[in-house]
Amino acid sequence: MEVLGFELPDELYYTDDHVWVRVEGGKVRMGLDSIGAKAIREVVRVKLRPVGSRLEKGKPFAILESAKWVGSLKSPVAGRVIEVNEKLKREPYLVNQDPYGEGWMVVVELEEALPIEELHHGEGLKEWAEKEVRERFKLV
Amino acid sequence: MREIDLETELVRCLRCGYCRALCPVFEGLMNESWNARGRILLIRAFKEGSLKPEWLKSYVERIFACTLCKACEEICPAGVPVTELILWGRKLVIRQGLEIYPEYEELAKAILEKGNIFGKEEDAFPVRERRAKTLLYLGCTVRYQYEEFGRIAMALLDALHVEYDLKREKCCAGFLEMLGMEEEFERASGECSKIVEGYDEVIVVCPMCYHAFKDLYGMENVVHLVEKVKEGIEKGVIKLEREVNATVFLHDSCHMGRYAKMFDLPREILSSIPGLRLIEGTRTRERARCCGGPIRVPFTEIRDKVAEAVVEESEKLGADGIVTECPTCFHNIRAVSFGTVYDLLELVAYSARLIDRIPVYE
Repeated sequence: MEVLGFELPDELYYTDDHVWVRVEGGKVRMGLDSIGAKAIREVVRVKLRPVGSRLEKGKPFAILESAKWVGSLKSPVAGRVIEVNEKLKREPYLVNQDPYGEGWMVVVELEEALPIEELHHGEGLKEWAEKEVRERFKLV
Repeated sequence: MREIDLETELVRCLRCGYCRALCPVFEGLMNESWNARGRILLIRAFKEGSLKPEWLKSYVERIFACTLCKACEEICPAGVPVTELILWGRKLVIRQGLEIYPEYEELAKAILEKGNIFGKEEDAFPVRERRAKTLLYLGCTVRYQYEEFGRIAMALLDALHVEYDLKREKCCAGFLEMLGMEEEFERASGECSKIVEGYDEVIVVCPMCYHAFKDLYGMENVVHLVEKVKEGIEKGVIKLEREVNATVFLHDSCHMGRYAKMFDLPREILSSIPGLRLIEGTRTRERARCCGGPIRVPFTEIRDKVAEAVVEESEKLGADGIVTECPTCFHNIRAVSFGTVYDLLELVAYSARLIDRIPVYE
């Protein structure tokens, strides 16, 4: 789906903070969606929770830094990190260039079911995304 | 110090290598040319013209990747003013027209054209010109990155019954001085001077602004907000009543600590907060680690190693979070830590019931 020029793949789930979640069996892959990636501008550094660490729902799994901003991405799920995108250490700009592809961040083995009722997907996704784009980029 | 004296200082280095013990960049890279002793030898070679042209790029890198934290000066048996020598080394690079980092040019442009280090057009703070005797000076990092700190500063001054002005600010330009950009510093500091002059007292939130006003502008009427808060606590005007149930690791900012020698103030304030337990690191006060802030751009990877050393020690000691009084340290520690980072004045404001919760930055 494309919303005001931003690509939001239909098969993904999205948090209010613009983390995207792709279900891969009992695991999920996560990253920052295209709206979030544009909002924080050029990412100069990505720090990820290491493989083996346990993620708590609502706690950060990544710290991103751009030239003038630093902040974290909260995990919408509890689980164990089983894979991280090491490439982002050297090429953090992939978060901006290819947010759903080479800009992925972590793969997490789920401890519990994905709380899909708390995530944006399917019906309602377009409306939420439009509102977000208009607010974040001051579109009228 | 005069340049002739700096030349003497260059040869006063005993080459003992004690500086290795405290240099945060050396700790991260374990390479002599990134250490104070190595850098001094390089500046000397540069002055003598014995550096090969193909080495100049590496030379510039090593001179500009010093955090200017002054830790090496605390251990140097010869008392060599390393920071002054590095600053001089940077000035020489710029005077000779050697290529420096494009990020520095952008930063200077932002300060000179927009009046702030971030190149932003506007900020969220009102102008309050009441012809007060006191000026509250927030600084770029607070105005444009951590607005909450600014609001808390205002709330604290209100609680202290201090009548103050708040103006459209121009960057103190301390960072330009740190980069050895002499002309740019003169211009930008001239602009800022006009804003801060005419007050009995200028209260700052940022320790870098404190250094700039006090040491570079020569102002005697500059006060850091923590000094005012400490006075307020002693007089009972600020009552620290609410418990903060946390064990915190105090990170001494270089500009509050080694530059301004205010080591006791944050400790005294934190120990007045009920419930708060303070942990000291193995390297604390004069020997505290730097956060790496001054080299964040363009040496982000080195900054990471420097700041991570602070976080690792706090975690080893079992702290719930790190507390600092410097917005720049706050930013750089946050950039590498999944844990909690506290601003000292936020803890005060919370304990004094000026705010209902300690802000969480995500």
